[in-house]
Amino acid sequence: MAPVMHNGLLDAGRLAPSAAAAAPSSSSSSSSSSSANGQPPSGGGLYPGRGGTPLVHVPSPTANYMVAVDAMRGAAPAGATTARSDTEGAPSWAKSHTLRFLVLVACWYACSSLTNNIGKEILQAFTFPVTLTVAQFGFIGVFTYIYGTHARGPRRTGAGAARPTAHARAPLALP
Amino acid sequence: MALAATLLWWASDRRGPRVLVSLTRSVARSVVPLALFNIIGHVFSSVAIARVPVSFVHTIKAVSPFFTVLLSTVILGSRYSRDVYISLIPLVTGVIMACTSELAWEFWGGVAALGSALVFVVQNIFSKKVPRAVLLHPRRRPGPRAP
Repeated sequence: MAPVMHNGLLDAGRLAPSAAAAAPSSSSSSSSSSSANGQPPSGGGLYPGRGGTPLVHVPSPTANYMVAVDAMRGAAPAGATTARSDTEGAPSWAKSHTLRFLVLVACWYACSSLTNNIGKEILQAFTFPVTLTVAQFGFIGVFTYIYGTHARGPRRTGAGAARPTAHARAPLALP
Repeated sequence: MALAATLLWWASDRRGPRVLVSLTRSVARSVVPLALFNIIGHVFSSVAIARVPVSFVHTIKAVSPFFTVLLSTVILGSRYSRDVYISLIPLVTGVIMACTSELAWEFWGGVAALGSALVFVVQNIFSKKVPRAVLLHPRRRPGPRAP
């Protein structure tokens, strides 16, 4: 199970440019300097604490990553219709992007270590590594499918309210 | 693992739906190679773990940054700063030292671990080339909104 997270993290990190580029913001802001280039000033949206930071400018690798995660999850493009905080609904300690990122990294290491050591234990009794891999990917597929179809958030408003048209996420469970 | 899953769940923002991407031809074109790389790399990793200790597999996998720099220099023609190259020297030296003092050395186990590291590096380089927008739901893609 760890490899899927491993690669998911790495892959998701590269979503950021397109996700950030997709983020025109219409929320009010303390700064108006960013409107010089025709962009509306931003400040709500993805980086609630950073008044006036244009959303096309991704300030840190961590934020970059969280933008990617939001995009991957199908979060509404920031500020497109409303200026919701992107951490709305998350517990208070998870409001910090950096903290969330560190928690994810810690989880990744925990799962990776567990998977490898359990895999070693299994392979000492059951010496078929390829079969074990197939079984692991089977579990990954099943759990990812369940997560993708059932783990919905409570809010369905605005542009994101349309129901997903298809559920062909299963192939994405492979990487 | 349950703890990790719980932490992941809590760390996630639970605002909206998980929007599923339909499998179109363009999505498949970028996902299928990534999936194949992942399967091959994982098989190598399992073979390696079956033959040599887990710690040794991960010691060998620690040279991944070296392969990343090497392959992206060769394949993509990327340029890195001098500091990057210098920082790779202790990394490679350390891994070589750890390998030479490894007691449970087994040739094919080492080769499989190295192959796994290589395949995952190639996958990462490839995934950097994939146009990421195709993996987003049509409503989430950049550009004009679909009606």
